[in-house]
Amino acid sequence: MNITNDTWFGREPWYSRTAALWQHPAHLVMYAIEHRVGVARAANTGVSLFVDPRGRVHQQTELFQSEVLGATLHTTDVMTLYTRTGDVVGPLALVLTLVLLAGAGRYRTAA
Amino acid sequence: MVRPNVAQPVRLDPESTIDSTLTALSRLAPSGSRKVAPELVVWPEATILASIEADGELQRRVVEIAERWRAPVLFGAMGQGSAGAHVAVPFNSAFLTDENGMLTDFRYDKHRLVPLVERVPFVPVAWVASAGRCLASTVGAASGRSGRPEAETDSGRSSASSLPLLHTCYGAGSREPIF
Repeated sequence: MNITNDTWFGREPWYSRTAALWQHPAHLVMYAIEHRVGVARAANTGVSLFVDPRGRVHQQTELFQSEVLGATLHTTDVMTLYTRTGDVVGPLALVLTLVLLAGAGRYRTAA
Repeated sequence: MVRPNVAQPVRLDPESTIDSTLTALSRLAPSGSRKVAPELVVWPEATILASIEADGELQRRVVEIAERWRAPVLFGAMGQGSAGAHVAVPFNSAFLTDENGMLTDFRYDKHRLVPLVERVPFVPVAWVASAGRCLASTVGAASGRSGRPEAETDSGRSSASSLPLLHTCYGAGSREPIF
């Protein structure tokens, strides 16, 4: 369940008109996939939506409309690799890159 | 899920924020009996920019709207807390009502605050709260829990046991249960 406040972004003043209104809910798709959970997002003026555990978005609303959404939220109890390990992909990629660079440097020196 | 769609200038106007928000919520609440009640009704983060715990009249008005759903209502409002001795700070909190609209003792305080918007990096909350109360009241979310999130009371945990994970704003990167 994601309750959020997107009223910072939108119409006025001019600097509030940003892509954040779409970027902000977009991460929930990845969150649903990473953890295989259903997600419901309730926003005030921004995008409200439901995301199923496969990352498919349902009932995404338009901006700046008052309304009521209803749905049955499906989820799973799967414990994914990401759920168990957290954000290891980024640091792991950095370490591998450094190892490859070091290896390449030694190879060039030897050659 | 209920979207009151109250614009930011209205929300930040102390004269109109409560009335405008409650009017919008009331307009979207069911007016008659419903054959099938939802299992849970959700209002957005910081729906009510006021401390609901300390305002009996505000509580009464919220109850009047929430009870029309005949279901628990999860919603954002300002919680009261403290940072250090004798320094009161508002929390960006989530509350839960029961099926009759009555406020339960469940409370979740947002713990991953947005830098600059909701917290000043590297500056203690107590200092911000004592030096800038006007900032805190304007933002409406000046502080949050540090470390692991937790419900406010033991009974709050039990009342929230039927709820799924709860994230405020941009969520969290883990699947750790917060209750």
